[in-house]
Amino acid sequence: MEGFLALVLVLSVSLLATSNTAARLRRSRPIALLLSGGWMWLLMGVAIGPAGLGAVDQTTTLGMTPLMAFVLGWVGLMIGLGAHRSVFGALPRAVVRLTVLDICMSVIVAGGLSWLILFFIDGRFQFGDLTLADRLLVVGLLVVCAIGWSMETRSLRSSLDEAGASLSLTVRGSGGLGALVAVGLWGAWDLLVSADASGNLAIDPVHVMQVFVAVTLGVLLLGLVTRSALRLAGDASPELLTVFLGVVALLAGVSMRMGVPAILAGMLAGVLLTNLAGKEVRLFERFLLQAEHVVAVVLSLVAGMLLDVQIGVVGVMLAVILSVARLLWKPLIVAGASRSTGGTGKELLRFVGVRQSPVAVALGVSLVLDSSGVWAHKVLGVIVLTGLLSESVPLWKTLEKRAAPMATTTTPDLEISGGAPEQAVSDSEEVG
Amino acid sequence: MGDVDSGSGTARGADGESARVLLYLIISDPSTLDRLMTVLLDLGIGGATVIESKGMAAIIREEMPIFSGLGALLPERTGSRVVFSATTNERAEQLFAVLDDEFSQRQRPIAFTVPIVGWVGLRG
Repeated sequence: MEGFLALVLVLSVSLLATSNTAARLRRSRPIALLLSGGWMWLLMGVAIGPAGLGAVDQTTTLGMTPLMAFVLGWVGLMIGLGAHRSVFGALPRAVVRLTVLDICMSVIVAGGLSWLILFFIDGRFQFGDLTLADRLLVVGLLVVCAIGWSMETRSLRSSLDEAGASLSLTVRGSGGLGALVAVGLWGAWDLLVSADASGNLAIDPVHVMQVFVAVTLGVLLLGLVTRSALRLAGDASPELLTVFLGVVALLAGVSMRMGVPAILAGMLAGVLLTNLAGKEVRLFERFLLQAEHVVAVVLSLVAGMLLDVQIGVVGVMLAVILSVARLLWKPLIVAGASRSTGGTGKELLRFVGVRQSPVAVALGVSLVLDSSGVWAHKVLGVIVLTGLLSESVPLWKTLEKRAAPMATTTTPDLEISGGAPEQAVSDSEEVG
Repeated sequence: MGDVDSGSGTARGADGESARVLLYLIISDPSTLDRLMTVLLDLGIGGATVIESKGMAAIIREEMPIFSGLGALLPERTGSRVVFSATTNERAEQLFAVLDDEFSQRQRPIAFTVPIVGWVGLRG
């Protein structure tokens, strides 16, 4: 009964979040900034979960495993649907450069810092009962969580000129590409790093390849079955909805059975589906993407209920250091991308890189789903805290910008230019 | 008085011909566009203008991508089309009947007309 009530609560809040009122609220830039990472819903999940008021207890949250797998499969599908073959042909070099740089820096900075803390400092402040395999898994997870950023750029765009639009597109494209890479890397790392029966580290690349082949074949089969099922369903909406939900559920269930992260299986399926021809498949794509906000809210609520707030000194240290690191190097690489696309490198939009990608929360939930250890809930807590801390500077910058007098990039007033053309020209140059 | 040859006029023509209306079709399923073009031509509704469009919900969703940011780099594939054509009320009514009878609910576009009070530049 509690599980049913929890499900009703989660779905009700998700539907509220997609109402016209919620859409209107998101037009406000500070609110958009807060909502883009799902923080409001996440904190609501913490409030009603075992760490807060306890309206939903630990047993009930653990019983939501099928829902978690379903949501992760859906998230993976949405990420994979962006990988149409035409995108890779059309990718601007600026996007590729920015993504590659971001991945390298994430591995070096986030990987190095996490390694340092978990392998050398954790001895004094116990984070949890972690084996060597667990620590490696956590380091890998924190690296992939550091890749990319939130793709919502409207709240940080201070002008609608061409340079701003170009940088916004570069940032969003790079964020999307980073999400694809992050999920792929996490899936491979999760399969590669494991422990044997006695708890010793076991790295088996052959097993990874076997699983990868099996998943690829499974996804191919799923794609063909999906297309056939959609053709059979025809125009009937109830049948179509059944097929849509059934495909996602089948994907999530089978991947869990195979021990493959649902988000990875979903992503591979999304990549396949978006490159399949057929108007039925386009319909399926549209259905998945239209529900993006609902799924994001469900994910955030569930993540809030699952995380452990008692992350200890090590957890807080990890979160603070990783978010400070983001603040230091992410704006630099985005500013570099801005200059290479004709911008000044001083746009407010360069701070979008500081904001952690929402995919990080999905990857954290994936760890909780795959692992039986209590420490996984703490790691999710670290990821969430990192994300919250990393929102603070962009939020402050946005509020600061709103408080400052509005700068304009519009054409100088004709009366002014008629009277003093030199002054009007120099004004617009200053603004530009 | 209507003057078809010079392409200007007011609501009702000199011979009492049917009132002119501006017909709008909002097509969310692009696969029906081809079939609709055939229907329009069969009914004598020509000179239509077709524009690619995007729904408000799609724009709001794009402003705040959460997981699907890579789609921003895809070539324009909005999937929606708006067709508008100046025609007579009679032909518009015929079109509505065809849409009702021969198109399923999912394929049926949103269609409506607005009266044209005056015009310049229309031919025929």
